[in-house]
Amino acid sequence: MIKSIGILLIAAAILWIEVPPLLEKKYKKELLVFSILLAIGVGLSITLGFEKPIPNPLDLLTIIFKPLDDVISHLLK
Amino acid sequence: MSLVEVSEQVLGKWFGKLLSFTFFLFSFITAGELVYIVSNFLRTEVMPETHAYPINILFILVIVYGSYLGLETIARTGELLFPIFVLLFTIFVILISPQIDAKQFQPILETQLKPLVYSVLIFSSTFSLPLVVMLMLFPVSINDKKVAQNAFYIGTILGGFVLLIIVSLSISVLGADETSVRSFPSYALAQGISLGNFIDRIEIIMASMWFITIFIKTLFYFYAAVIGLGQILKVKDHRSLILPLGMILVVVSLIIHPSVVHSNEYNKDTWILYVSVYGLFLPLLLMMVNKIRKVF
Repeated sequence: MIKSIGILLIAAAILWIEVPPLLEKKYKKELLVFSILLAIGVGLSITLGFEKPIPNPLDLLTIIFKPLDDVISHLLK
Repeated sequence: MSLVEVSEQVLGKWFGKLLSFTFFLFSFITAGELVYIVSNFLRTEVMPETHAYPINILFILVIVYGSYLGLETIARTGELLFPIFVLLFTIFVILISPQIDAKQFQPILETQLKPLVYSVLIFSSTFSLPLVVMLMLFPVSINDKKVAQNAFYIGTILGGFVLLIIVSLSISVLGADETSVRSFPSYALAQGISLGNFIDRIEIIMASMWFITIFIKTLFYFYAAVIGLGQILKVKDHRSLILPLGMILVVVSLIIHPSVVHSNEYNKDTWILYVSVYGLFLPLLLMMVNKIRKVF
């Protein structure tokens, strides 16, 4: 619980630093992209804070490259 | 034009954007992996009782700050740190050279062709292919193209040369078997430095040489990811993306490798293919499509 509050505080600090200049210049798209990325960051951090498993991007890559890797291992080892 | 803009112009809007997005993921994930390597080194060799969280967060804070200050600051940091690196590296080579044992190189030329080709692939996947991330800032933010081109080549060759020296020093001092077993052979090499009971235990000073280089490398990966995403989405100011991406990078660096075995497997098998997709085949594809387009 404390971890989530800490993460939300950090997110609030980031909002406090970044949002006023964006609002001032009326950058709407930037604000949208910024909010989506921040939401992903907060979501992932809280998931990690509760020690729930997060899918590892490298495992997906390993599955994608597995056939090619087998060919290379067969040829070169 | 940067690599992202080139691929969008050459391959069309949607396919180019899709390819650029995977390139963004490549440099972002690799930045996270480098942070993992730093924290793994610190936790195995220097501070075994510290958790990964503080190390990763502190390292990423520096990287986020560096990319917030922009390209000129990064370049000047590199300029400032390069002499320190060269000095430390020279001291390192001089101090370790009394322990070189030429017998360790034997047997020479016993290797079959197949393992040799494989090792060459591993070697080039470490020192030359990842330089593709430099194409994110290379032709765009340069004033003098000719000088910069030469500097790029010289830098690549120097990097490979330094790696070659480290590898041959490790083999000639520790032996081939022990080098292949160790996770950090150059650190073990620095631990062996002992000069007349006077210069002893200077391995952490030598490790700072490695921190300098991996810091610059991670900074470039992260900065390339940030401006890459900025150019894909056509935002006017990429700075607002840095802090949220840094927050995601902390999570990525913590989950990317559950164990050292996972990291070794990945670096030995998948990484070579993954980096050659972007370092070798993407530039070739862009060049070929551009040539074909000019003909028609």
